[in-house]
Amino acid sequence: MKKFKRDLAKCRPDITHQCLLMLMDSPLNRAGLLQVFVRTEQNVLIQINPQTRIPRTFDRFCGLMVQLLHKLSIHAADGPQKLLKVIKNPVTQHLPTGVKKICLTYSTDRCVQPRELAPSDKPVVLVIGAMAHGKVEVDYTEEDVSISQYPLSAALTCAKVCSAFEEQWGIL
Amino acid sequence: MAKNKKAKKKFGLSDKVNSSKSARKGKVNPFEVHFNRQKHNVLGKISKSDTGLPGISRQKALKKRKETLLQEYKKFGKSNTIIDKRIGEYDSTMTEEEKMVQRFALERKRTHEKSAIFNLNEEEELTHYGQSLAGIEKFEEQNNSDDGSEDGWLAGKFTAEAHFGGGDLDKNADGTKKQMTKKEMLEEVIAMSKKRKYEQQTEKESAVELTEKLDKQWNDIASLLSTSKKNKLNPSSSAKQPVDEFDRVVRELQFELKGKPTDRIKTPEEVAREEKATLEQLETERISRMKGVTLENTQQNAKGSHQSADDLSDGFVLNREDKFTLRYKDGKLLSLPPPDKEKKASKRVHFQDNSNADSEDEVDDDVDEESDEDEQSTGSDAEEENYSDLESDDNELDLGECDAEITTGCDRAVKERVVPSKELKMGMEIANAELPYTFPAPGSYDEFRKLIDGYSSADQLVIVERICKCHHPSLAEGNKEKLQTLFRILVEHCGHAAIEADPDVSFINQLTPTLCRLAQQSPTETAQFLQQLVVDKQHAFTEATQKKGGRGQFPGLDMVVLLELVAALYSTSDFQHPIVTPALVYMAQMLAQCQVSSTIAVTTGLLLCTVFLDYVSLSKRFVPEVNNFLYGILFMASIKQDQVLRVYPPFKSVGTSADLLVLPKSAINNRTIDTSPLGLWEMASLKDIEEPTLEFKCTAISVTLKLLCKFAVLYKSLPAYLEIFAPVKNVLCKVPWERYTDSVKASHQQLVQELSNCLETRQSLSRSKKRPQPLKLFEPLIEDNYDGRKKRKGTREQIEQQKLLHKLKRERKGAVREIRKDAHFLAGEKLKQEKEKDVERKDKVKRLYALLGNQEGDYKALVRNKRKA
Repeated sequence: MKKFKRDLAKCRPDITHQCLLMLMDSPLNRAGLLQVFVRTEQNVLIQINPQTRIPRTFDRFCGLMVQLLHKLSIHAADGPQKLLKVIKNPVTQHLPTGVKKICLTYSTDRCVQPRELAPSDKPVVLVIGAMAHGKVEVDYTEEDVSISQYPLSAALTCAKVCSAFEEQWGIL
Repeated sequence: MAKNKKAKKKFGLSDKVNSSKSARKGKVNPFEVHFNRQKHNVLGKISKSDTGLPGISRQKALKKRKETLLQEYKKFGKSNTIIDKRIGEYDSTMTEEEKMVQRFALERKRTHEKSAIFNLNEEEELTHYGQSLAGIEKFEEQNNSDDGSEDGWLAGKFTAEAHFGGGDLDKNADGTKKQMTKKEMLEEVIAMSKKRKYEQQTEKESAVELTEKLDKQWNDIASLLSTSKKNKLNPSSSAKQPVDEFDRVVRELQFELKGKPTDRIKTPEEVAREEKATLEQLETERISRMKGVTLENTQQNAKGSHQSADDLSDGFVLNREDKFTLRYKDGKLLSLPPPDKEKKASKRVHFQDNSNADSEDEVDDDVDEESDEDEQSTGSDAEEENYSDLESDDNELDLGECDAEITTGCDRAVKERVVPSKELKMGMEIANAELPYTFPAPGSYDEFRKLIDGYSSADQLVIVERICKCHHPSLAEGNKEKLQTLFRILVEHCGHAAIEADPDVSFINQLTPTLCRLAQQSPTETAQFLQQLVVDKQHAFTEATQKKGGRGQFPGLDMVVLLELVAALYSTSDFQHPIVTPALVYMAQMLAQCQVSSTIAVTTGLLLCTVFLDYVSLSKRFVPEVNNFLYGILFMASIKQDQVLRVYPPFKSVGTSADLLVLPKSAINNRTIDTSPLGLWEMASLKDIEEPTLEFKCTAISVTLKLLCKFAVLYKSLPAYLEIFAPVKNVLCKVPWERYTDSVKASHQQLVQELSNCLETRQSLSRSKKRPQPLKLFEPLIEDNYDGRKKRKGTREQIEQQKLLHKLKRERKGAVREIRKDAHFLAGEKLKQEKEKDVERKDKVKRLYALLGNQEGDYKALVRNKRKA
């Protein structure tokens, strides 16, 4: 990384790994009610199939990501599906029309219970920053919301949101 | 030829141009650079084709063509060429002078080569070992000595004397030598050298001789040396000196064995563990027998049931070493197993004791203890395990076949017997004083009666004991048969004792150990006898019942005692047992078919139920007859009003017997009568009374409640528990409990609690809940050691082939492209030449026209001038 003059603080695949583990293992995802997109710091947009089993070890996850960024897609080992795919920006093209887009951030005054974020019958888009420093800067969100009065780690945020949605949507 | 030459030339030319293309990478004009846009930038990925210099590369190609293709084109079709071979003619780096020098050198060389052909060795020198022969010829002196060392020695001395000594030869030490001629000198030298040689020869020989000699001597000594190390001292010292006592002792101690390894003394934990292991094993065997899995079956499965040719297949087993045998010495028991293990038999008969008033409570305690202890005391079954297979195999209860297999559980009683019998002895030592010490073995019951008549029960016991001892099988032939007879007599005696007006239960209790021991001494015969007895009684009962149209009569107490005795003697938990199984069937038959219309029937039935509890306490078998009987007893005590409870045979829903046990209302006030309910045995001993007393009613209900409570606990694990005890629960509501005493009420409460504890509502059958099907997860395909390159599949050869094909394709494409470009270039060149030619021709034509015009003009002018002129 130093060879290529990149900021080490901006490269945190471990956070992404934790978040993805939380998200992809949640009952919400197993019930097929979650779609995860990842945007890298270099603006590469990745779509993750809900059926993906994220590698448990960090090393393997890194290998997976390297392979993905090289090849632009990852197939399943035992199936025809493309599990991970690099897709075209912007992400709004891939979101359902008219969906509410919420950015989860600590730097806002509006603090709500996570379960209030879940609408009963509509999909919703939540943007969670998986980075060490700074705020998520995206232009397509409609409002900023925080779900805790304390700064939360990205993985914890994912877990909280998932459990809140499961509770709200009756997934046990 | 010409073509070939040309091709060669062409190759050389292009090659030269290519090689001369130096790596001149100077500054690149940024406007010349063309960037290929990358769609996905991967960090650290090196791309060959991200930038390009199209103008420069085109220019390069053009230049190259001009240098190669154009030149060739110019020479195309020309067979002759002029080659300038002047050195450095076109080389700008060489100065004029250098050129001249090189040209001159070449010329000289040529002329020299030409002239040198014909020169014959004029200038060459012949050599030998690097020296010219001419030089060698001049110096003839050569050293031709043969031995280097000698030569050295000789030379040294000789030269020292001859050369440098010069003329001082006569100045030798002795001074005898005068002037010597050269010849003399040489002779002397030769002589000296010969002498020297001879000396050396002799020296060598002597040295060899000496060595050989030494070797011989050494061989002689060597044998001595090798042996001397071992027995240097022994032959001399041991033979001569007497052995020192101290030394001998020391040696003895040295070679003495340092104590043999013995078995380690087991620690208490180990002992306990072993005991536990044996107990566990016995328990598992008991359980397997209870389930009907025979040892033989498992063995057959295990080793494929080897059968000898001589086997009579009568099930006779020889190896019975492990059977516990009683041995006597001086009239005393020799080896007895620890008495604390087994108390079952004594306990079992204890509870029949009615000497104390609350015998019913004791029943409870005893049954509890029994079930507890039976789990520990399965050691008693150890002896049975060898024969259990056969026991359970005997389905037909064939008496002839089960002879050798049946062993009794009486050994357990024997084991326990020690303590009570010893105590007994101690206590009655004095009383026995006047008793005779030997008794004849009775041949029949009457003889036995004669023997014991007139003695107290304790004395009778001693008499029986002494008969046993006097007629131990090891003492005389035929004693075994006598003891078998004694066993039969004793069984009969027990029965008689039970029927007596005042049954001496303690006597029966104390007789049981003796019976056990007898049964163990001749297991086959006793088993046969007991089995026959039970089967006969059952047959008799069946016949009597059939005669009366299915309504039987309860037998006397002797039968109950017999059945109790069977339970004491044999393992009741076995799945199938030649004696216990018929006994069970018989008891169930009695409970199901005997009419319950009198107090004696109620008592006997309850006694049978108690015996049943004893039988099934371990195996937890469900006996519906018992349940029905107890339910019927409660029904008899309940108040029949508008709602009619169902009751099943042998009970009747109407009639006098239906209300046999109902407590009248007056009993509420009359509380004093039944503060101490009677014992069962006491009740049984009472004569049949038409109208049962209040006490009797109370006792019957109390016993029933307690038995129900026991069975409720016992059957708790049965799946049909609810259904089994539902009628009991119903009938409990109908009994007027307020009329009973507090103790009965307490036992009622206990039963109700027991039932309600276990009465759980049954859940209706429902479909198993379906779990939502989660999305199937797929493992992403991750290559190990991914290096960013595509991996091709196939063998090495295939990959190589593919690579070569790919290369060929690329090359072919490149070649086609080059050819096209060449053609384009040539066409351009041709056009250029054509244009040049055209221009030239036009000029020429113009010039000619001009010339002709001028000529014409001149001519016309001349003509005009002529005319004028």
